[in-house]
Amino acid sequence: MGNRWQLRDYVFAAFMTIGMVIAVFIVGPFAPPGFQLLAWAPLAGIFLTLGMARLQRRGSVALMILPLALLLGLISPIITLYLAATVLVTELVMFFLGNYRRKTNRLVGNIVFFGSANLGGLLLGAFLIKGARAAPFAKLAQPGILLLLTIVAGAAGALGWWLGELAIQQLRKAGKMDVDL
Amino acid sequence: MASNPPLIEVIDLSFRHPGNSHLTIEGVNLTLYPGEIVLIAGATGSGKSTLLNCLAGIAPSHTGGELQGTIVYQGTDISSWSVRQRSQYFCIILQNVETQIFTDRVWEEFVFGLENWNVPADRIPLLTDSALREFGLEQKRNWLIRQLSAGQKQRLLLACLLAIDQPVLLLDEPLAYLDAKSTEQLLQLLRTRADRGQSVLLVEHRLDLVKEICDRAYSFRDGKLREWGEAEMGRGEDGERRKMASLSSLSAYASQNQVITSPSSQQSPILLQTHQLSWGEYPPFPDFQLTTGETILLKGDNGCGKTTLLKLLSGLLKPTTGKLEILGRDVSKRSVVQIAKDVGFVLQNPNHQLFADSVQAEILQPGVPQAVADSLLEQLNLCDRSDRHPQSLSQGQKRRLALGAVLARQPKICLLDEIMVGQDPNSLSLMLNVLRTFTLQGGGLILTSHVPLPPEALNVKLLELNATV
Amino acid sequence: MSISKLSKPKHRFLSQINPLLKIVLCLLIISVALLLHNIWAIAVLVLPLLILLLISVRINLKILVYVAFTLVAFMAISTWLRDFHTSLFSTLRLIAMLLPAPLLAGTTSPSDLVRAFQAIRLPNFIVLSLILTWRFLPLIQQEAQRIIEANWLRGVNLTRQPTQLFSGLFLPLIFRIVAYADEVTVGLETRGYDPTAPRSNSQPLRWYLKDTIFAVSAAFLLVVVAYLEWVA
Repeated sequence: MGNRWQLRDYVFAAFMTIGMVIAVFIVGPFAPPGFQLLAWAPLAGIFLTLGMARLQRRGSVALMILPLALLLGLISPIITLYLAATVLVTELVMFFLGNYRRKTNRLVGNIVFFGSANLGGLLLGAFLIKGARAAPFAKLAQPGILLLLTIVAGAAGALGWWLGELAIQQLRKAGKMDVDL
Repeated sequence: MASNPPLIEVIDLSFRHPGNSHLTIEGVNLTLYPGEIVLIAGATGSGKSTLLNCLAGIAPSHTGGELQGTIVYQGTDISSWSVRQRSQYFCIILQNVETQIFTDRVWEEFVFGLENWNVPADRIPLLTDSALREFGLEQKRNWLIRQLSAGQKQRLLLACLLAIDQPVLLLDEPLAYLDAKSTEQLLQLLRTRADRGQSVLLVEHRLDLVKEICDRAYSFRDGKLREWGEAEMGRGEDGERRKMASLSSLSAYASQNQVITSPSSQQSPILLQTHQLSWGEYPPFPDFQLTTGETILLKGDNGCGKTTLLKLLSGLLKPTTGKLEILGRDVSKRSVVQIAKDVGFVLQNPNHQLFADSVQAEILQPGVPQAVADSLLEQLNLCDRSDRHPQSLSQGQKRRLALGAVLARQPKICLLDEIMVGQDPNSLSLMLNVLRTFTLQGGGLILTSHVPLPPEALNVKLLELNATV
Repeated sequence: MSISKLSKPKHRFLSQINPLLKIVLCLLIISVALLLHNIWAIAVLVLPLLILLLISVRINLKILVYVAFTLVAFMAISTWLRDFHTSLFSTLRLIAMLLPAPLLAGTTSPSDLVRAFQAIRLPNFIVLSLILTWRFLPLIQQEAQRIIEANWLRGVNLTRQPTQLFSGLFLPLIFRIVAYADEVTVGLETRGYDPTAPRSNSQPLRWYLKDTIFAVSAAFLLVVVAYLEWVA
């Protein structure tokens, strides 16, 4: 597993979180509700991938997303809970696949994270809407549509991964990615 | 002073940055005694910041690279200590003060620092109060930190760091962004502290400002440190000497080229003309004209609006009143992108202006002829780096590259913000040569600098901006 | 040159209530809102929240309009799909779920929130992340703004040339962020920060009379809501 987490890891993760928050601001006004996650995923995926590549250890996603979850809790704690659950799912899956050192693992991490985030969000939304007895909205809760939207979210995550890998290449070329210690 | 044992001893220190084949600093020997202010001078890139980083513990643990030699503090070898461990005894002020501030309000910043050191909770309010009083920040206790100026932030940081009364102060180019008043306050503060027995190690290349208060000085050249004698300090050395000379000649020069109020030579076509421009709280800027081949230097203290004026000229800000004419057309309401066809702007921080993945590609933008690009690369001495990633260059090289990229688009007018900040003499002379060629080919230049320029490089006309209240 | 800008909420009392109490109440209200089915119960829950919001927080007009518009649209669609009564209930429940957290955020200073999180022993790395995000988000936004301006200066309008977004905005911004991250790590160490070292607490959360009054009032409110829901 390597060394323990160091201060520079926490700080880097925090700045990746900042990047994802900025992505929220960029995307926010333009995307219709319900599709916000799909629009946010490619941008956020860049930072998630960068963080994975720099931090490398299992738990990197948790380090970046849990603070984000807490921050978004200032809009609604329900978001915190569901993001935390998504983190759990992602890290659980990645636990068996290995750490984030390999490119393909980073890709899987992104797909799993954004896919399950979207799924979780939709299910949560469906649950809340069902509770409010607005049954027609519950049409969305059909397995077919859920699956489709989850795949689309995964694809959006994959796009973010791809852009993130481009950024990693550039950082490596400039010598800013791995500090030679 | 020499009777006391030295606080810090640097013995045969050498450091090599990762990926470099040569040593950045070599065989450095240095002593620091209590109660003195020691200056480390030298051009940008000569190794003085590296030495400070080694002393502070930043190199090699945060930068990578190889360190050889010993650093001794009060008799103990601290070469393996972390930055945090050293921070208990060294008050370290870095170049970008923003990266050392972490809270919203003035008093919270004190509390943050003291809590980090696990200072007993009942002592914290007392220490905070006395530090606020000593540094004159009592009135600003509840202020938001983002309301403070650069000088005030630095002062706040010093106050916070010194709350645990470290014996040694290490400062990395603290005067770079300060105006005259803040500079004086800082230097006075350092002198007071030194008189109380603390030691100050100051890395600075603004020799003219600091030579008054320093007890001793060292100078860096090509990675090697030499102690300066009294006479040398007064005179300065090489490039420093030239700067000293340039100061006196600049004032003589200035008296010849007064503020431009009358229209200049009627023969040259007018590139740019302003009428009663004003913006925000700044008083209206003096009207002026820029003709082909002319260079105007906007001179004034920090806060008097030099950068604002440049932003108005480039279209980044729209004037509250007045009119701006470029090449005979009124552009007061045009967009930045439209104005950018004729006006190039080299920003103060080149990191905002680098977009390509190689030096070559940065200059060879769409629409730029290969010949122009090659010539600029040559003149700016970047040919041997043409494949490197722009972000891997040094600050001086980045500035040259940003300038190259702007000039490659062949604007008629070029604006440069704070051309002198963080420049080593080589980089600066390369840039000035390129700019001179630009003016000889008919371009117009408008520069700002709060540091005196060597006047023999460019034929500048001065435009004084008055300080606001 | 700079004028003191103390943040001035309209009425300060909510800002001075114990932040941990506010967090607990916030979570409680949201949980309760999920359980309710009676429209009067929901209304009694929402009304005090709205009142508190109006008197404690300055609301940005643009956000107000956006939110109002969204709510009205939601109600309209709901009414069309079901009936007015259900849609009113849904809207009220939505408000009850979305209001407490922003109200908390608007009436609690970041340092109070940090202290509350430290008090409940949240892991250090999360608290650090919050501190850093709060402090450096505006600076990174400024960097993004400068990069966008630098693009204008070279003749590139990013909104009209979205293909340039990655190399023109994101890559330079990423380089700035990575540079900041490395510098801030050093900066934190110079300030003596260590996530694993013990740190003192000079501003421990205290409980005052107003906290008791607030807690009791909130409890009373919840009792009324419960009564309306399950007894009446």
